[in-house]
Amino acid sequence: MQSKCHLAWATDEEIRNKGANGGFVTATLVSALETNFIDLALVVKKKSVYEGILVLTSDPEEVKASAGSLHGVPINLAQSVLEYAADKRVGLPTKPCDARGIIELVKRKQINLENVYLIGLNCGGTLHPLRMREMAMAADCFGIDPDSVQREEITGGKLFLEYNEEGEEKEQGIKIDELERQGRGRRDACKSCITKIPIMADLACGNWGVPPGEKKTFVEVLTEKGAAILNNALTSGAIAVEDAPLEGIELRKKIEASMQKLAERWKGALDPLIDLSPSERFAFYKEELQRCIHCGACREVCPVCACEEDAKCLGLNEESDAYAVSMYNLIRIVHLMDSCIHCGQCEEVCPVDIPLTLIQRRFSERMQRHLEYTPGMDVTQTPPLNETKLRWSAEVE
Amino acid sequence: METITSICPGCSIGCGLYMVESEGEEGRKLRVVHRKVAPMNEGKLCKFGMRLPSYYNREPLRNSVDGTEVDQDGAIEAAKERLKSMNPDEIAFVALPSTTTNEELVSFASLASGFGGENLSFGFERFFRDIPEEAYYAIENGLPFTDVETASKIVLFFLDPYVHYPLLARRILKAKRNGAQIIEVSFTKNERGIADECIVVAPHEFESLREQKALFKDSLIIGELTPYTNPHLVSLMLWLQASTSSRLLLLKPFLNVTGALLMGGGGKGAEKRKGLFEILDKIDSGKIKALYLLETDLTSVLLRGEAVKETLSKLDLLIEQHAFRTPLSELATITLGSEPFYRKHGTVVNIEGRLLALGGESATGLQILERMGNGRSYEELHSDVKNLLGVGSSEPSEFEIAVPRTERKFEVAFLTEFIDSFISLLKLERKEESGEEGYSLWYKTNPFFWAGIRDKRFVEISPAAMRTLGLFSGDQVELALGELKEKVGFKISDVLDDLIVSEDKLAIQPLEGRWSEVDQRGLPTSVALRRAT
Amino acid sequence: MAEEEWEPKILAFCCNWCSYAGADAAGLERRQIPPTVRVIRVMCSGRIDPAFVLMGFLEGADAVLVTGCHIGDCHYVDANYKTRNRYEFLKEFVEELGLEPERLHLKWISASEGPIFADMVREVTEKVKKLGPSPLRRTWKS
Repeated sequence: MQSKCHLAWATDEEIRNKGANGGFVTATLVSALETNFIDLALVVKKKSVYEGILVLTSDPEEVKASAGSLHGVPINLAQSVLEYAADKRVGLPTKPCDARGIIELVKRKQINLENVYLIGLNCGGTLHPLRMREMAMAADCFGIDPDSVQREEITGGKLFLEYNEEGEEKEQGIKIDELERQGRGRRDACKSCITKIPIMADLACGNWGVPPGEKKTFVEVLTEKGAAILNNALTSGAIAVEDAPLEGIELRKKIEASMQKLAERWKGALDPLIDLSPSERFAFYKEELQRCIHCGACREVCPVCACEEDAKCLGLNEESDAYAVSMYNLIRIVHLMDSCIHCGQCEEVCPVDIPLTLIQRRFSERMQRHLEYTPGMDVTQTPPLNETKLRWSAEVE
Repeated sequence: METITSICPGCSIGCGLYMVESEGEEGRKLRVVHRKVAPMNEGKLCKFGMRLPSYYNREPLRNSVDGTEVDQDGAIEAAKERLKSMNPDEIAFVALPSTTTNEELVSFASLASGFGGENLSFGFERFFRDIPEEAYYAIENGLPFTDVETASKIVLFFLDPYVHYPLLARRILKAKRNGAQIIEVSFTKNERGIADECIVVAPHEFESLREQKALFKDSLIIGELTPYTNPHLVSLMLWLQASTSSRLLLLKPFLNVTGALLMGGGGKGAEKRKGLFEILDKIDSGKIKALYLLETDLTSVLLRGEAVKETLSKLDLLIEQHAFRTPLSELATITLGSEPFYRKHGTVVNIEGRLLALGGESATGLQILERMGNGRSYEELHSDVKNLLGVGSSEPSEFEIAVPRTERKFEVAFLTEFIDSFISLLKLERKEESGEEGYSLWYKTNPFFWAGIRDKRFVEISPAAMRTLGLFSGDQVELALGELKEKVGFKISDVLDDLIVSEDKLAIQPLEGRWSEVDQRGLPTSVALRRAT
Repeated sequence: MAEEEWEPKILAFCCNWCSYAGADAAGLERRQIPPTVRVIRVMCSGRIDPAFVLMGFLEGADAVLVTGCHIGDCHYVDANYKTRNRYEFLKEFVEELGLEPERLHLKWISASEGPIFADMVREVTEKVKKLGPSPLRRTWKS
């Protein structure tokens, strides 16, 4: 279907002010619950700018309370949808990596896409909460008490922290580029991510393309489901909508392109293996992976993993075998070569700091390029590892 | 779906996490979710933390008196009555602080003193007996992990961080990336390559350490302290700190040992209190007739799980307060059911000195103790806790080190005495050329070990042992100690020829022997090894 | 441990219908095949899980050969397409890992192609002898 671009905002003043960019996402989910369009909403409730808790609720008030951006909470929602709402009508705000994980789980018949409304959010990246605290505190950065920060926002390429100092409300903004020059800033996975607009979701929402100063969300309708939930919000009076101005549409494309260019540069900068010889690479992989203590966290948090306790990476792994590299790790690499979406969750949870995202990315990017296949985008595509026939000829040496 | 901010009870690091409860088709489900903002672990968890849902999925302990189920009030009344009827010297109170909050420990200590006894043990009393008071802090307090990351030299003393305290390993890795020199002193080389240099000490060559003193200069010495650590080893580590201008960090295998030691379970008054093994000996000899166990399953914590059942069956009165049913529950005269640790409301102190709050809302366990004792409120107890810790009236956040350590100078008497007496306890024979006898079994303790859970199901042996025994892939080995035998899988590792390393607690343990003789040694045990048929 | 002369270990997966018969034929025709090869017979090359190849290397194989029926001749119709598919993954995997690509091969061998089997084993043995033992082998110092 032809996507349509709008500017939209919540009609309720409170939601409009509390929510990011005019509260469209919050208002849409709230009205969907109120009109029984969906049974449940999966949202992240803010505990502080550094912490958010997942909430699965049918209560519109809880959704209203969770309004606002949380760039310091790098959570991936795909496994939670699978765990708690696989067969219910659920709506949730999704970063591109959340939506891609869900799409992959749909391909593996774990989630019924008809029942899941993906309110996609444009994403420039998230930050690790502890790194954000360090940035807040560092004298050569924000230089403030991390616990005094009430709100954060990333807009116009800057990270803004709103904080309370001696009873006064203050604000500081530092360019993300500058933070990253200092070795700070976003998560590594986010720095090199080129999927900024969630075109695989039902709606793509954000502030790129919104005229400056206006409390509105730029909304691109991508699917019929997206149109349906938007219309539901419109007819119930929860939102107001107008056509997106052409300049806005163009600007959004430009911003996306420039962010993708920056991401490509980061890919190279963050890869220590780029100039290594094969045997040097081997030594790196072996040395890093030998630290594995087989806790299983990387598998638990992987948005794409659909196997249960019968997974081969578990069943074929025997620590008493004392292999040079464990089967658990090698199988996870091979099985994710077509489907890793580079979300960065695995590396973040590894207790022995194995650079798992780097490793998965090295193997999967070359495979996905070779296959001309991008996971997490199109629900109708079968993961190539499961395919019987691939596109090339059957000729072999 | 309910999210509870919680802390892993696996060890003294106290990793932060979320326990998420939900109702599914198969009933109540628990899931552990990473809490990335937690400063002690950045949300990361070891295998034990990842397996908490199954750890918490045990049969709850019900309230009972003399084997008959009753309501909690009835059980509390019965316990109170029976304790009152006994001679204070005949009652003992034991709490190994793994799943106990600070408030519960304070309450328990008051309860114990209320019944007049001095038989109160948190498991670590004996370590304070022969050391100067100025050195107590090195045992009671830990250190913030930033101190580990910024150390220029680290000596790992019989500690494999990846196994013993997995979330410590990455701190040492960071130090290494910052240019630190990492030295390992152990019975076996760490296979994950953390150390630059490894000094392998064969069990019968412990004396060689004496020569290596210079190696330790100006370093951070990291070791562990468990109920089984040999006190001479502790004195050795203290001597090293004192004589090589180093600092000692002793990790502990139970979450809240720091809380327990700092609030009265430590050096102050240690000479008066009884140690855990002394109490068990007194139970054996009939001098102690009643025991109150708080959240402590002695069969899983102690090496000699079967023997402890024998000992405790001699009691007239055994009161067990626990969240879950244990092998001791059927022996218990009175059982009192409390809530699982993650549901508790309360605080703990981790090895870094952070005062951490549990996100639960239940105080059942605490209330049992207070209803039996002074009837204080949570707020009063929490206030006591803060006073005892010297924290002041504010609520410290998890991001600060609320209970920092103050370094003090101390002197520990010269090493020879310890090494000599230590070696004399080593009744290990050197292994003959080929033969089944004379292998040394060493436990690499870890959270699963202390929780009585078998995780690995194999032992590690040397390539030489594999060849001597003629082992094939798929075989099992059999370890034997006296009459006891156990079959288990094996893994070949780069260990000394006559060393067997196990992360699982095996069932081959001496059944005979006084607790304060057999269990205080904490050494490798001499066993026989053969191919299992 | 005494210094032993290292002999390459080649692991060959052969399918019951075509390539195993081919390997068998090579033996019957007294083709010269170095004693380096160990054969595992599977009913179809489509039975070969990529994990088997990985495990082969981890267990100490210096090279792994995946063989099966020619495309179109598979006894189970089109299962060898899956073999081909999985081999694409293993090939990229081996290359990225930094393992020498000469250690992994896929060849369709029919029952009458004994000489091709023999030639392949000989060639791979020669190549691997030059490469040395696989870096994925287990090694113990003592």
